[in-house]
Amino acid sequence: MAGATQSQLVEQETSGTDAVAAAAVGVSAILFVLSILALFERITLTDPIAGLPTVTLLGGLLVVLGGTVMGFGVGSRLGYVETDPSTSAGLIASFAAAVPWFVVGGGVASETLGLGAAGGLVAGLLTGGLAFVATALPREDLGSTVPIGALPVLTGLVFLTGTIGPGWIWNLGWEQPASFTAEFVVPTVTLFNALFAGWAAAKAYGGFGARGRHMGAYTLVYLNALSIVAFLFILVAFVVVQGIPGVLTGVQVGAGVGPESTIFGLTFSWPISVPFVMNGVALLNDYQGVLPAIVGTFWLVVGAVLFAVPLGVGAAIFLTEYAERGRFTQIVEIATNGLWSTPSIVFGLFGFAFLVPRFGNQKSLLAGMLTLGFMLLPLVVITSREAMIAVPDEYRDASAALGVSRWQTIRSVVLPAALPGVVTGVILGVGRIAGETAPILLTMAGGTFVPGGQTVDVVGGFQFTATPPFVANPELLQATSALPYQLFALITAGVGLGQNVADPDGFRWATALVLLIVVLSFYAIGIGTRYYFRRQLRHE
Amino acid sequence: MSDDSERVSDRVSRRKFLMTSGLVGAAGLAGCSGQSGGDGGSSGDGGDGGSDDTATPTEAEASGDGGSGNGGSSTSLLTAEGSSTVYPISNKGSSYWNSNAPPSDGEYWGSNSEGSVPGWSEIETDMLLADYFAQQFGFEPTEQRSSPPFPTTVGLSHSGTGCQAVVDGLVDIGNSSGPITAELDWSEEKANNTVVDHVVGRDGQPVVVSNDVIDAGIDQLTGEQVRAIFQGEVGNWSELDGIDYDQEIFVIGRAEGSGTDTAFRLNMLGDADAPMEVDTRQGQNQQVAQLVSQNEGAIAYMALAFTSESVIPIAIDFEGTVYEPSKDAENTIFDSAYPLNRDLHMYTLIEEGNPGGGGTGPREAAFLNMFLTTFGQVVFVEQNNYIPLPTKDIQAEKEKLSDLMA
Amino acid sequence: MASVTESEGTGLGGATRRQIQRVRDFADDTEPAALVTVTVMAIALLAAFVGFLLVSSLTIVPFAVFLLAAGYGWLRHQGPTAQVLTLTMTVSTLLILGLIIVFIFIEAVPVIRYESATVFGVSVPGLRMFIETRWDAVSDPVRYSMVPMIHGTLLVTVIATAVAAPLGVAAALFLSEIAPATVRELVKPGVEILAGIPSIVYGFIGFTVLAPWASDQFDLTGQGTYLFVGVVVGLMALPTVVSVAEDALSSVPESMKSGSLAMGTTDWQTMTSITLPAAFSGVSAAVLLGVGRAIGETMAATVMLRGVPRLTDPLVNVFYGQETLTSLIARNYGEADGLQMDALFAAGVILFITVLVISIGSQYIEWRMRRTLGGEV
Repeated sequence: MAGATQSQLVEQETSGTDAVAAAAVGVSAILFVLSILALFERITLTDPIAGLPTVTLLGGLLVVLGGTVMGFGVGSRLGYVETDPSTSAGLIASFAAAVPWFVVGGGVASETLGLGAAGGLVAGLLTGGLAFVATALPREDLGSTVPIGALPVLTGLVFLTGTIGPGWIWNLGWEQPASFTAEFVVPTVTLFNALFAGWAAAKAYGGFGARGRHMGAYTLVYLNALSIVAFLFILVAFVVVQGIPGVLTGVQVGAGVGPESTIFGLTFSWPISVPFVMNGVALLNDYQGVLPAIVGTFWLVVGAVLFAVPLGVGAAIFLTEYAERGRFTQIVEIATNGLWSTPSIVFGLFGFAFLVPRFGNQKSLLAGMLTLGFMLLPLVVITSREAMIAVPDEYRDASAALGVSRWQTIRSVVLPAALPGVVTGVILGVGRIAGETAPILLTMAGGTFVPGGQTVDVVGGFQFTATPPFVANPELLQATSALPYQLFALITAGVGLGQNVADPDGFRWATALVLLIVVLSFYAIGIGTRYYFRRQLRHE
Repeated sequence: MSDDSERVSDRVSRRKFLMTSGLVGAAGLAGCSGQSGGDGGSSGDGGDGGSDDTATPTEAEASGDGGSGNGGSSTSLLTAEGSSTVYPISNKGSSYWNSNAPPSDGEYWGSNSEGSVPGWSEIETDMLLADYFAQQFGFEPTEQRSSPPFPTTVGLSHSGTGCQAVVDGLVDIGNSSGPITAELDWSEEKANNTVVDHVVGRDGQPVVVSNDVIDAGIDQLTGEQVRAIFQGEVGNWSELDGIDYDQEIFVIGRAEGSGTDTAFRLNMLGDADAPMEVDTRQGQNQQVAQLVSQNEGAIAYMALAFTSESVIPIAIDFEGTVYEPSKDAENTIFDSAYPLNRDLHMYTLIEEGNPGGGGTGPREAAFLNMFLTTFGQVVFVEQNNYIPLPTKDIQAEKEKLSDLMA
Repeated sequence: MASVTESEGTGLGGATRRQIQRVRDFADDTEPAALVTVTVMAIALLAAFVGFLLVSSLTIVPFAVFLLAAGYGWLRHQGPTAQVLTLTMTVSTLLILGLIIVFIFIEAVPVIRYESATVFGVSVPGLRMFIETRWDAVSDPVRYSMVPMIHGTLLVTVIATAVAAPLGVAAALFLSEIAPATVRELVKPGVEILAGIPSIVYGFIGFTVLAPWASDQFDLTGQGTYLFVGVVVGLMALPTVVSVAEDALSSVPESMKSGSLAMGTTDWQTMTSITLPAAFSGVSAAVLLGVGRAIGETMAATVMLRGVPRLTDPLVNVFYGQETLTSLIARNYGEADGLQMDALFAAGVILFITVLVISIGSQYIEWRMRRTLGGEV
């Protein structure tokens, strides 16, 4: 027990210096949000925020941020703050500091000093190199804060002194003219400054060293992931908000307001009527809708699934159960993967060159179904293969030990076990092809503003003919519309809606919303089934 | 062990349940899909095998054999396709036709206490809209609202596609805003031997600019200036004589197969193949209108139906004569003397199956005849801001259809 | 009896011999009736396919024979029938790829011949498409140069990769290493749903919201920029990069990471010095796949670009978006015919080859990765 020392294993209280670093991170977060708002024009550069002109406010905050970061670094170097820095900030940090200073130096030299592109390049290299050295050479606490912290200070001063104000513009002087305006430059520069300084501040909060770098990196990675999710959310919310009024025009809920249908001989009318999805476009409609497109998408998906799933599952069965791993399976694997990455427009071209001439030399629903089936096929093969490979060999061995033939084993042991994976893969694949426009553009695109009565009726269209072929279905050979194509046609040619549609823009957004709902529900079901089956598996 | 087997049997029964419910759903859906959508329960396409283009999944077809079965009074779907310039006329006609409105409607057909349709005094019938026009060519009236004697549909693409489609027999009527000789590069003789040209209206192809250009005081240009702009010789509005507006010109063109583009090159630049330098090309008039309204310094050529208060036509000075965009001036863009004035065509194919070996089948004739009445000219052509035909031209067009009248 | 010796020769000769041996084994193992049925089935299917290719109206006959034979075989001799049927299905996937290559190439041949250039006195077909930079389908001289479109695709892809690669790898790192379980359950489906949004919806939002905004921000003439098309395409390629990279990162053996942590490194140090280098091949394969996706993106580009094929001025001007290979096809398919249509197919050929090369490249990298990591996966 002699010489027992008390060392702090865990730091539990937030010391004052920690609070300062945290405050710096907080300021950078505020700046981040403000710059995003400015980019989306929720706040403008001309209207003041809280009584202060926007640019001045941003400038002040930037100076505060940069000063805090630099002060923290200096304080740590001088020993006022308890940190654990390593000897150098490292290559990555140096590089990260050099890049913005390169841009700043180059920009200032070539524009403000008028030295042109070559002069800008040289000056940029100079400043970048200086920043690199300044970050790499001193101890980490100085190196990772001062050069990066100086950046917001400089920017803030530029804003505060009005060098870049709301009226600033930099014409690039190109043949096809473009310029950097203040509305773009101010928020973007603030954004990058906030990111860099926030990173440095997070490192400072972690006390530099390995732990500091850990904190800094984690901050950025978390920010990245959350931005992606936020972006998705905003996107979907935006489409929903814009599209809901269109979808809900003329909605009625109540007994007997909807269309009639007969199931198993019973005729009844639906209690809800949503004209947007139940009508076509006709003169005497109270409200216009996109029913033909929805039906078209439905039949497309059905046809593609009927074509691709048996083919794909069969191929996967052969590849995993019958074939031996060798040249042949490798070639098929490469071909399948290549097919899966092929652009959708190339499938459309293929459908146009191969299928359309063989179905009456005109666009048809059948050609569209088959083209989308070709697109779905590789995905089904890949997922089925994975699902079947995942079935443990013990199942097959046990079955063989009982004397069951190979095909019987496949049919009663492997396939049922692989079924969840296959189903999930098919659903996700369907989600993908339901949203594809390019393939159907060339093979199927038909009238977009047709009355509900002209909706394609595949089931009722089958008939027998006296000449070969002996079965025919003219419905399958009609060129019809589908939801993605409908949206494309609305973007490129809004005409045809006529005076009946009070709000053509709303109609477009509503179509986009319906398409989004259809596609995302497939994805949601697919993800749900995968989650469900995985839980099942875990309980086994 | 019993736990496992119970769970396995649970799974099996769950699977069975899923399968059966899937089958039930599919059966129900099949029953449902036999019904039509919301309006009036007509299945609309009369698919009575009249057309020869039928197939099963692996069947193959002699190409080009997709004849649309015009023989006799077949009531299959009448298809039209082509120009986005003619589309407003054609589509409005098609939607009126498909509605088969009763004469008591007053808004779309006939007259009642609230009003009457234009040209009603010449018609004055008890029949429904499509019934009236179809019965003149031997079709039985259906006397059902939203269920015409035969349905119609109009597709939207380009004049070139429409011409090609009608020649190949893929559609019944090809809409085109440029002459087929220029679209398909044919001689007059070949065109006369292959198709019949039905003109339903005229377009005074305006040159439009965006709001800010008008605000800068530019509301008239010479033909030479327009040519210079569209051939890339002038890049900024201030480079033109007498104009003091410093703004880059955003030159908008139409797709290279469109009739509007062909007609513009023909009439303004001198040759259907004349070179043009534009900043962007769009496929349809609607996109052009949207771009003009969304951008500054824009100039474009389009069709009269798409002008609005943010897409404004300007006056053009052709060799001394100034053609104004307003209808009341002395020389207007609505005159046939305006160099950019063009006919709007609906072509039909000369087929042996047509009565008298002529160029128009009875369905096409019934549909086209609707446009040649005062009612049609006012509602479909004039209300779309196009130029209706003078009386003698209407007479000439009706001559082409008189053989088929019942 | 039939014996297969694996060591009996390598290469094509050996492989063929093995295949023939396998077929002989199959023939020996099945009863004559079953053999006849499956042979009839296979031949009928082949005949039906040939008939379909030749656009003959008699195709229904062999197809009906195939159906009959398959039905009979299924009822009586299910095993061999299933084996042969699944073999034909596998062959069909290869066949589809082959057909795509053949048909697209065939359609593009006329324009390739039209666009020939002479080099050292030798006429090289198709060379002029890559040398001259003018595209004009209407006025003389009619030229179908691919250079402006390749330039456009290049710019868009570079910008898209600059967006998708860093953000995607960081997100993949987050999902596989950093995120706690609950957060992971939220974010992973979120990324997958992002993959599901149709490209036409992105295009629509880009056309109505983004493009006018960009035109204002940069004071441009008109709307349509490579920069924002690149950003949108990058966001669309992001989920691909994230999912493949996440798979690669998760497959790094746990033992490596634990060993590093046991030595007292932080999580981040482990990630940068152990996990990322180990999964480097997988991550680069993910980025390559993202690049492939970006190259093939059609609808967003078509709606947001200007549609006049030309090089931007100066070349790095990303603020003006003219036309990419994909948008060229989607925009002009409607009115193109003759040589112009063939030029669209030529653009399709270029696209297809590029993406195929990238796909094969990334598969090769993944195969190498699996070999390097040994049997621990």
